[in-house]
Amino acid sequence: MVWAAVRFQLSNSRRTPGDVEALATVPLLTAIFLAIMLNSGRDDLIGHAVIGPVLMAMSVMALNVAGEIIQSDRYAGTLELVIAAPANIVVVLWGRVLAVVALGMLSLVEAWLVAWLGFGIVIEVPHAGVFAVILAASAFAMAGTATLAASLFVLTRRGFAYRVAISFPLYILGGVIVPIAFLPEWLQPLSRLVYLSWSADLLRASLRPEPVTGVALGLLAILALAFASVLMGRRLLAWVVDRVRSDGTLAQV
Amino acid sequence: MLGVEVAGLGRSFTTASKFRKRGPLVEALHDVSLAVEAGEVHGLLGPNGAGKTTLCKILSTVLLPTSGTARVMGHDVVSETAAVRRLVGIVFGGERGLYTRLTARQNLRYWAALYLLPGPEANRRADELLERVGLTDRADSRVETFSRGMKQRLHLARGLIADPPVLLLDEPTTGMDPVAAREFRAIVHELRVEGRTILLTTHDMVEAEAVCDRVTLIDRGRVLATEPPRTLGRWLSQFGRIDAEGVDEALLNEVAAVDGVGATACNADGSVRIEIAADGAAAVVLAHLVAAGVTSVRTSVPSLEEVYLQLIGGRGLDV
Ligand SMILES: Nc1ncnc2c1ncn2[C@@H]1O[C@H](COP(=O)(O)OP(=O)(O)OP(=O)(O)O)[C@@H](O)[C@H]1O
Ligand SMILES: [Mg+2]
Repeated sequence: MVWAAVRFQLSNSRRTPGDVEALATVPLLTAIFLAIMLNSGRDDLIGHAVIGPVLMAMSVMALNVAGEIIQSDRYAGTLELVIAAPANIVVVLWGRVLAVVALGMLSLVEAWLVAWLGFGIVIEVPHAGVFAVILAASAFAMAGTATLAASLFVLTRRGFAYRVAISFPLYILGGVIVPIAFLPEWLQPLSRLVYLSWSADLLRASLRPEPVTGVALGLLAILALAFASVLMGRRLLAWVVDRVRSDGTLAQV
Repeated sequence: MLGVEVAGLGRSFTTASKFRKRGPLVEALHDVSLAVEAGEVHGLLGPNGAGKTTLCKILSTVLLPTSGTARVMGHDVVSETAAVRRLVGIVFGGERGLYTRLTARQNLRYWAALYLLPGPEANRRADELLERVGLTDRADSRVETFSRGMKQRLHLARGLIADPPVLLLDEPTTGMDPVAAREFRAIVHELRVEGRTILLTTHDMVEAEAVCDRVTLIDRGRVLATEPPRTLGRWLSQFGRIDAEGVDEALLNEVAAVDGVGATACNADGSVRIEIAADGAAAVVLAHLVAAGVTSVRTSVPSLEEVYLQLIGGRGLDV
């Protein structure tokens, strides 16, 4: 089922440039971050400049596509039919979002090329294994969060406003743009509830030569948060779907 | 076992507006009871807003009833949704309900997965159905390039993907040309031979008469009667209408006096319309017209609304 959803979404996204348009912002953002960090002499922050835009692009794509799936399925009249089918809509959504997140990994290639071609910096990944595992776990978590957000999109027709409202606090809390250590102290525990904070830390650490510590804990945290978000998404979606079934607002566009 | 069993079913909608949270209540279905035998093709005939789609949505579990019960092959649509979803195939008329950016085959394979068919079976079933609805040649074209009739055929294939014993067809022939509609009816006939239970909604009496074993008439959310199709056939001939050109006033008065002629009226284009309200009157009227040298004559079947008006107005139907 998940595989069918992934395949379906890949074919669909090929025809829907909107799904992957976040990829277009990656080179620019990477260039800006790199320029700022190099000019202020903080060569140690190069990892931030690369990882930040990548994680942002991937999670933006996940949230966007979750909203887009609900909206376009509602518009095409397929949302009702999906709900009338025996498959669990959460699994369908999760698979479809995961496909787009996987495409989002292309942003990594973009960021790497920008650093190399634009700034002559060849970014090496001393801990490639850790990097790959954490990135994969983050992709699962992104799809999970997007599934959770999708229930909101089923409930309302103003998906876009919510998408923006959700994503920015996530970046701040997740330490994607600025390291968490720079956040006010009272916010820091909260940011540990955002999988992005663990992902960003570990991904950056795996770009540095010294051994990466806390991989197991971080990985566990990311996977646990991913799992929790899918479970919550499942509960919330079931509740939302029951509500629209009783209101009769499911098919309204 | 009954294929579909509906008892005392009611559904109302609160129409929320911008200013008031709860507007007036719209009663889309009121105390509807209906029994469809397994293997029967049952027509649900009603004008716009009768509640046909509402009933189909309740049976397909995407809408909850506000009162009463509905069962599909013995399973309750509210408490046993999972079982019902596996048993029901849904075909809604119109062009919605497909992923237009994908090909016909991709659409069917995706829906097969949503109906939990394993991969190889999904592929086999998709090919089989494409063949059946005559889309094999276009299987790998994107749906947005399809004509309306092709989309509708694909929609039917979609509804059949899980080989469901019960099919809900909600105005499946809207927008089809007569040839396509006839082909569609032939497929419905095959599906009946295969033993499927079919609930088909329509506002076309000719269609209902052609494909159904029994027909339930509904209007404004209420069941008026359940009739065999030959009753519809009788109504169609009983309440026919005749349009004729070159009829002068004297001739019009003459035919208006014929026994069994209902209203007469002048159309905007100068022709006249003669409504027939009793069996046999049409032949007499035509004889009069031909005898008077009128040759531009057209007979047509009445619309559902006209028949309803005649029947309910004339107490032809117990309501
Ligand atoms: N989701 C909804 N919210 C509010 N009112 C609704 C909703 N769905 C249907 N209705 C109302 O319920 C009534 C019955 O509608 P329904 O769509 O079932 O009719 P129908 O017989 O399918 O008509 P048609 O031939 O036009 O398709 C109508 O008055 C309609 O406005
Ligand atoms: Mg309808």
